[in-house]
Amino acid sequence: MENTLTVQINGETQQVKEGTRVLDHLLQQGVEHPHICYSETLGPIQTCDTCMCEIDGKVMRACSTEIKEGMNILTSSPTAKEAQNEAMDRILENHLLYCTVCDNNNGNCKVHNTAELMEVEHQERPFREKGYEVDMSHPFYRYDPNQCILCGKCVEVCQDLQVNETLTIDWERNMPRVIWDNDKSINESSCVSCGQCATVCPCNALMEKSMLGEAGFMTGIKQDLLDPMVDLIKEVEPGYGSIFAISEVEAAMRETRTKKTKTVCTFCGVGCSFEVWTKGRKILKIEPTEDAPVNSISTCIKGKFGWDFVNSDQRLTHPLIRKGDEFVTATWDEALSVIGEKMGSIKQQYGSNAFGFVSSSKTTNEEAYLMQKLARQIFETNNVDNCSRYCQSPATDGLLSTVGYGGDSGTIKDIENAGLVIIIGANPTEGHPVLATRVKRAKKLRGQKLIVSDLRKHEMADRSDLYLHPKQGSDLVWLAAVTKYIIDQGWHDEAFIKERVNQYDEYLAVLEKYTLDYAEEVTGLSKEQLMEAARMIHEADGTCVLWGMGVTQNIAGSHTSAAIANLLLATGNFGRTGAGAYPLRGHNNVQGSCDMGTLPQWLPGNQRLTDDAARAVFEEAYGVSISPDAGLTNIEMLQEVEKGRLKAMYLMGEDMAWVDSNSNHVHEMLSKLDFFVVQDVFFTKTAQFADVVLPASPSLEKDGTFTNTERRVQRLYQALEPLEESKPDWWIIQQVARTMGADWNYSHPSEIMDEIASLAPIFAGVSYDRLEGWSSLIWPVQKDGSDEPLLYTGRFNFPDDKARFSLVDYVQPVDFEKEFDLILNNGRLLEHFHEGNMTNKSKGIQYKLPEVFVEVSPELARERGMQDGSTVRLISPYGFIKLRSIVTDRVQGNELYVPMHSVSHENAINILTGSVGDVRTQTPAYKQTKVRMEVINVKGRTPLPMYNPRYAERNPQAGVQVERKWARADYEPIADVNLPVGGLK
Amino acid sequence: MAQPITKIVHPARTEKELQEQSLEAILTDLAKSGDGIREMIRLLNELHESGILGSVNGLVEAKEKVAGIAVEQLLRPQITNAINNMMAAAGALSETNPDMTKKLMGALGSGLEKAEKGLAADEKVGIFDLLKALKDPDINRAIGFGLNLLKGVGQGLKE
Repeated sequence: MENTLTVQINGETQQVKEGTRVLDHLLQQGVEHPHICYSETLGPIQTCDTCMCEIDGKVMRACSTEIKEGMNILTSSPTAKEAQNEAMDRILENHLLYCTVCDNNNGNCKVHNTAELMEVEHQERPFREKGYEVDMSHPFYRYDPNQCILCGKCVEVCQDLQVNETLTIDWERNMPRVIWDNDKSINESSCVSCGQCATVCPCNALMEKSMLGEAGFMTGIKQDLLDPMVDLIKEVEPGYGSIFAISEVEAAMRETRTKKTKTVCTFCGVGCSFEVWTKGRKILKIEPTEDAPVNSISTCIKGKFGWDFVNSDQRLTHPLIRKGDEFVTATWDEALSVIGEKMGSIKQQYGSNAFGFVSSSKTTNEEAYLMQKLARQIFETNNVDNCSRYCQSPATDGLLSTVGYGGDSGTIKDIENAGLVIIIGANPTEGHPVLATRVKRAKKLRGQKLIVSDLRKHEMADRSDLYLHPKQGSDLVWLAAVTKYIIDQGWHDEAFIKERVNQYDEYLAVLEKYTLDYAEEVTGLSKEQLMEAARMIHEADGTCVLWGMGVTQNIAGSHTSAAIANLLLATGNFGRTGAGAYPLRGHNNVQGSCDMGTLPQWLPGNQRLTDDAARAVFEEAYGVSISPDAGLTNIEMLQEVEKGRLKAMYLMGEDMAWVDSNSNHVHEMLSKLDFFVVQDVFFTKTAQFADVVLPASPSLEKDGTFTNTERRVQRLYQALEPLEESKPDWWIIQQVARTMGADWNYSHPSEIMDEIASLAPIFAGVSYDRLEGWSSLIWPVQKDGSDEPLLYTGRFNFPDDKARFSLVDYVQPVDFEKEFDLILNNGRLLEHFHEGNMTNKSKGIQYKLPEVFVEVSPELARERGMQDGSTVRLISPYGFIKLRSIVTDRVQGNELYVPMHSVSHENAINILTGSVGDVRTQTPAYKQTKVRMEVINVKGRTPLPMYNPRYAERNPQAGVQVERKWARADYEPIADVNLPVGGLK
Repeated sequence: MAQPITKIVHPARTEKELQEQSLEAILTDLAKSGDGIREMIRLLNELHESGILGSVNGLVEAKEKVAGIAVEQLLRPQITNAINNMMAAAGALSETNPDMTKKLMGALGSGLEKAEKGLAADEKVGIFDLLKALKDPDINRAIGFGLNLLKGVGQGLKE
């Protein structure tokens, strides 16, 4: 119950909700009250002291003081003002106001704005340097201790929001400063380059290097001129009012030159949004904001710093046409007419099913939609698929067969609020870094429980309460056994099952064989571990299961996904907050590209092709008849190429040649096509097989929408003009359609979205107006614009509104000849994205992680006489690769790990992977690969530089620890009350 | 059959073609803003003929040197003192009551006028004249003002 309190604020009687803090109330009322270290996300960290008020005669912080009945609060009494001024004076002792020649003078400098608001004219304590060097060691950001005001916001985000636990303030030394680990250089520390410290820094102490000398009109001045200019300002000591006036003018000038555009990140499925600041084509920085619905101020290394690829000189800038054994640059007209001619004649000669269309999980919803429209309307075929076939189809299948929607049950908030999070076959700190921070934060601050099941002991496994290491591909068995054990114990939610789930009796029959003994035998996990997992689920207030490709890229990934849903259904963990099933989509628009119907058996809006009514709607809109028979998947397309039946392919935004499994085979198939169009940002390996290559524009150069892993639709705005002759994918597809005789006339992606909304009921209420700025919608969206962040509160998505237990069984992993004695796990690392052809354009990222390698367990290294840097050859039945090794206990026994970020014939992982796929969705069983290993050279340079954070130790502590500041002998309290704010912020 | 190829040939566009292409783009821009361009040309001619353009060019070309010199000059103690003096004076002035300043300036004006007349008459002033003058209410007011002013300054110096 929330009570209303009556208080006096500056002599005025006001009503305030109980539990509100003074500063929050003032800000809600639009009162401009000084504060620097406080933010909504971080709460009161109480370091800056500028928000002091006089409360019932005492000097107290507005940020941390909760309003109590009858309080008399004075925000600017002489006593309050004096305290505020004293606090600011201590800050200015640490920070020199050379605003006009400072790169952080962009109108949003918190120190500048607060000093100005307080009308500070002079300072009592003169500025003095702290006596430390500026740390420029890190490729992406710098720390200038002499400008640091010691507010500790950076420490707070590093410790308690990002929870990477690298930064602390050494309060005890004579001259406190922020330190990395135990006072290492930034570059050698455990810093993972998420950039959040630079984002929250209220001044210029922590700054993105891309801003330095670029952001201001006068900041490009060389140091030997800048220093005397700063000295001059110091010498003449003008009243700060005049300095602020000049710097404001300069900041206003910057406004006209610096363009700030909202965009949505493309480096995973979490859906972080932020502003990108540009000056001409130069990307000044990524500026996150608390308004962003998913990530707030959080980012990872890729989202914050990984955008160099946009301005890479390797971008495709003109259409290319194959002529003999070379590509010749061409105009759009030339390229389009070749496409029209060739595809027209193939259609005439071989018919519609001689075509295959491959869409991308990286392009926008509008572009994916047009791709399927091109296939279904212009070429009259359902042979359209997208690259989620390689990753997420089994997860979608498992959910469709149990709860009815192929998407996350809730949002990142539900994951944050869960009592227990179970992560299976996913490495979110590297693959979905910002989502992982919320789990780490909930665990650290609130004691959320964590179970991790993975072959690899990655960071989340390290942090887990229970780490399970099952035998490769056996997750279904332990999930079923735990579910059975829960039911046997009577810990299941009988009422929920009775009321909302079908096929319970049949399911119990299926479960019969999944005893703890059987599970122990198949998975290698102990019965105690399984019982412990069951107990944790039973005791938790809400369980969320997160899974990734360690589950899906198996021979029965769809079965395991269904088993996850079964476990959650049995325990009533659907349709409530803090619970549910969360397949972690790997790319920015995996969810959207599937929602848009770039799938051989689905129409836009997740409507089955076999649904006559739905099909009729599209037939009418498109003016063609659409076959109810499913088209070909990516995998089947290549099979049809082999049989000589599929003649032409049109592929957008996907390096299939490296991303599909069994690369050698894929290369052979691609070279057999009669005609092949590839549309991409870069000249990929796949493009090398093309007849026509079309230059596409990346996300920063176009408008559109993406749908993230939460089913959240968000807009991205064009920040830059398309580079040279490159074009947005929607424009290109439209031109191709028009060349084929279609009457398409979209002048902006918003018109495409309007069409989608009119045809796909779950998008009925989606429009660009409703998605303006930071607004977002989570499907299904009703016509009136109401959306559904949490699914299944009222019904499951089946005609009878009930979920159903899946009755599928365990399928044994793929068999290999005995000589292939090592299990080859593979996946992502934090720094790079996908096969790496975007992130490998970033100098800083390449510096931190220059090449792929194989992780070898210490046991295996001993057995084979290997060490860090040994070069090995890995040989599978499908091919071989050569790379160097890292010995680490992240892997154990006979299990190896190779990151997927390579576009080299020498070490691309998919040269080794096979062609067997998931029994229901054909997603390749990438994770079920076995190899033998030959050591070529024992000694060699380590492939992972010593300044990569994986070598460093973290330094966990609870936040910034202001109480250590207060405990200093030279600290004179300003406030009458100094109490650390315990618990949750 | 399409073997993978990596060779990309950019049709050898001649220097002249490239130049023509960029010229065309510029011409389009020019045509769009004819009026402005014509005005700009007039201004340029004026600046050129008056020699202003030349000196500005020189300054800009030597911008770093010039700025260096300027800042160095500004950093000399005399100059920083002068700036500080000016700012202090400006600060003091801004604190003075403008009505009083106006009165004082007016008074000074009429005093000067009177003094000039006296100078022209070339009158000798003896001790007696001085004593007599003290009784003149106008002179008395001025001396009173002066004495109080001195007292104020003295007090100010003491702080």
